[in-house]
Amino acid sequence: MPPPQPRVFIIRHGETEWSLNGRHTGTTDIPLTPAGEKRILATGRALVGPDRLIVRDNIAAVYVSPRTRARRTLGMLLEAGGIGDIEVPGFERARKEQGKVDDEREAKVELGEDSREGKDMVAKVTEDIVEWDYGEYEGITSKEIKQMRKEKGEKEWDIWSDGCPGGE
Amino acid sequence: MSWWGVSLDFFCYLLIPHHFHSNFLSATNDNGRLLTNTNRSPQQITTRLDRLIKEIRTNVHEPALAQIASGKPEKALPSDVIVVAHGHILRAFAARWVGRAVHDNPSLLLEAGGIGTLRYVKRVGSGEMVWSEHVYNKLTFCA
Repeated sequence: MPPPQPRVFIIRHGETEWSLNGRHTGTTDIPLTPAGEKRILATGRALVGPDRLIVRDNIAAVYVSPRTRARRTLGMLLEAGGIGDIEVPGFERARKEQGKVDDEREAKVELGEDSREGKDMVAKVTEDIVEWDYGEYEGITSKEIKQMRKEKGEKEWDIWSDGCPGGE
Repeated sequence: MSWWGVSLDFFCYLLIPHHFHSNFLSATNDNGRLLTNTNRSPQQITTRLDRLIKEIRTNVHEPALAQIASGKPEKALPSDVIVVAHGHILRAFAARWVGRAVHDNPSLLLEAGGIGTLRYVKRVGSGEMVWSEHVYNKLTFCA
């Protein structure tokens, strides 16, 4: 069957503590929650694989934000969908640190063998797709921002047109 | 552009430092840096997203569409691209994909762990391909 028309799959990283309570997370590098990881694996099993939405043979390129939560989301989705030949820089190392890398692979790393062995594609880590730089609004909620602006006598906030002071 | 149409933050950057607080300004920053700051904001978002979209279209999608148009579908190239990132920036990415301005507030949502699809559709009555988007907003599953 020929590949489908060209597509871009936009994937938002899984749940974090801050995404749960509505704090704006731009440059801060915080991890996924256990529940977030569980749901990413379930999504990967449902949507990634030979007869699923995302099929390995149709993938031409992969881009990922440098933040750990994005790399981990990508790595886990591919893993859950049985795609083993796309390297996600930083993902294998993170797994190794958590003791989740199998012995065979670990042995290869210790022998100095290229950990990219068998990887046909490398996900491109790019700053172009990092989260909006929230500047002074990093780590606080929309409600708090609204209150801050009210106290300063500033107009009601619309991030899309106003941006963030000290950020984007 | 009306001054009243820009945010107070822009207002401070553009007017107050230049005209009223030049000493304070020179102690902390130079004019070039300030101009850079005023250019950050949604315009900077647009610049970096447009750069990535252009890269995807030039390197992957345009060659694939050309191959499809050549009438040899059996030789079609792999043409799916995956972009893994964050809530606000992906909403802005989808807006730029369909040629909308970021400041128009893209009225779509992508929940944590959600997957959306951006693609092309044929404009009715012509062979021209235009950008399109569809968001699988609820396609997150609980194990």
